[in-house]
Amino acid sequence: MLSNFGFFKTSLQPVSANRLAAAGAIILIAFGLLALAAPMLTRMHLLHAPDQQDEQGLDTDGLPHPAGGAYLFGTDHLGRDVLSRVIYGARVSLSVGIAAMLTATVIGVAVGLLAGFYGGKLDLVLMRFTEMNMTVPAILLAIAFAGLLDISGRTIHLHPAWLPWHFLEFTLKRGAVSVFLIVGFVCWPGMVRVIRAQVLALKEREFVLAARSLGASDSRIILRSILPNLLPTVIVLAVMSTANTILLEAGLGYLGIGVPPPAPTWGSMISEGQPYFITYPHLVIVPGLAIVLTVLAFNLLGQGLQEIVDPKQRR
Amino acid sequence: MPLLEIRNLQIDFGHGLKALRAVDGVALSLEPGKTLGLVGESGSGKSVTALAIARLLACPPAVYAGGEILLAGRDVLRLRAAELRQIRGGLVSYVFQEPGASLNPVFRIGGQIKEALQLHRPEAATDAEVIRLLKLVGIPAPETRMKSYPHELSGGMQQRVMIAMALAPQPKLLVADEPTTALDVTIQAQIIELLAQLRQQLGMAILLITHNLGIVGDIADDVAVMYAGQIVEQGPAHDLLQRPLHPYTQALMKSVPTLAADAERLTTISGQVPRLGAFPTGCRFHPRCPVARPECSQAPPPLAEVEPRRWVRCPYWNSPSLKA
Repeated sequence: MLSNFGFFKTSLQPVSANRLAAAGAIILIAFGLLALAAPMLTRMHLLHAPDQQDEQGLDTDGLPHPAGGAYLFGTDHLGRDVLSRVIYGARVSLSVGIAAMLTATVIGVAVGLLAGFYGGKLDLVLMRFTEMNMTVPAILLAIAFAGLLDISGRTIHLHPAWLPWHFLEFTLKRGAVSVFLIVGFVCWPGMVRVIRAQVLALKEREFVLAARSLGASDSRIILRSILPNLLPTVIVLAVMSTANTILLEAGLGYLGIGVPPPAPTWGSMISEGQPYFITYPHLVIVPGLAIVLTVLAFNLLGQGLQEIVDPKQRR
Repeated sequence: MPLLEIRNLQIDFGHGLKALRAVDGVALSLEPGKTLGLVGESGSGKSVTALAIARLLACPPAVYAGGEILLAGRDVLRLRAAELRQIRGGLVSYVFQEPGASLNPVFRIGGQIKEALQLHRPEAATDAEVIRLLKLVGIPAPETRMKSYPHELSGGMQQRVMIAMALAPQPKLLVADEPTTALDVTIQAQIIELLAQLRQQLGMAILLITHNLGIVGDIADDVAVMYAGQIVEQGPAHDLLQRPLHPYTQALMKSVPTLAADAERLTTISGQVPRLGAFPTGCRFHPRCPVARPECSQAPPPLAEVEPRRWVRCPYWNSPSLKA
């Protein structure tokens, strides 16, 4: 428990000291920067456009280039630069993954707090509902949700008019919004149990009784006494669950119910490259590696943060 | 009118046949500005009684089975939730046993005191008032200390901060539930001295719950001794400690270690406090009582006023074997 004290004051420095957390953070920062800068790199002609055939994208026989040579990661069956598509895919995967994680965290923390704090019938109902959600495999549930939500590819351009140079131009497809909602709605039950268990322990702590003895209401105790003490756990859980949301998003993309084409996503790149896997393995390996690296990075960061929050867990 | 009057309070844990009575017919009364010491072993029901005053027991498992708790004339057990929040802090404040656990570990102490102010005196929720309160409880350099986290303070300082928090809403009654048990001896004396001084300065009443008879003598005007959910003896502190009448109180007094006596072993009370729900018939103390008679296991003795202001739950208090 001692390690919880002053978590925020002391949390930034140990991230760099903890090797796991540092490795994860470096990978993610690198991916994040590349993803952010992608449109700018395209405009400066350093990166090919991700959704258009490149002029030299196919050789004279109309076949894609393998990895290496003029294209670092080769081109795909339509002559599009795979490197560019992987980087643009990171924009989709990271933003959808993080938005889904936020959705899942908000739902999971709220349900866990209410169930743990009030207990009794509310706890019974909320926990049975949570378990019901857990029994259905995530991917099936996501497909069912996708059937309910509209994933036609209408585009909403989100770039501020006051910014002449569109560095942060981010085209959020309607599809992306529904995908992160789908993934978020599917991933929250995993958090509930951990949060609830923590709340059950925290609400018996004497400082909660002390707050109550001073006339604090239930909502004040939940928000001011219990929630701040949960934050270290929530942060670790959130980072770890981002790995799940990204995997699920890739899975949906692979099945063709993710963010609609021609926007590149890692999952759809794998499914598009699959028919050519024997002759052009880079079409599957490159996006696959991107998924593996990202998921690994989130897990490393999560594990590292867990060690920082609770040093007894160090192995 | 007494500030606090508890009448025939009965508290159960659990319902129906499984109900265990933790507090059985406790009656107490406390005048404004006075100090009452509530003494007893662990499990005697003294903390449960204390928490009941602001209805702080978790229900379930606790059930307020009967009696009244009149706080400034209003029955706490009949108040609605919003009124209860006004009473908590506003009329009665608590200081608990573990100062380290009673402070929220993630907030600075100044912020926590300010929070207590916001609940009852929002107009006074300022840095200046926080500093004044910290000064009042004797914390040096309050301007810098208010920015400390709880774990950066010693146990004694933490308890002073807890007292400052409890005093922030300006309560009429301070319930101190074993405020010194977790502190070492020199700090204990300081905290008790602080409480005595604050009582004088602010004119509030104190209900001091403790199992340490030495502390009671220093500060209390009256003392009530609890055993197995009942009050067994009650009276003015000085008189009661000089001349305990109930065999349990006498045994408690004997088991206080003294430096003067050249004893090889400490005196103890044989046996244990009976388990909840397994109270012996008749007098609840008789299995451990050194002067028990066969009749003691028959009928439960009443709490009787045997001398002016001296109440004892033992019909044989005047017998020669107890006058030792």
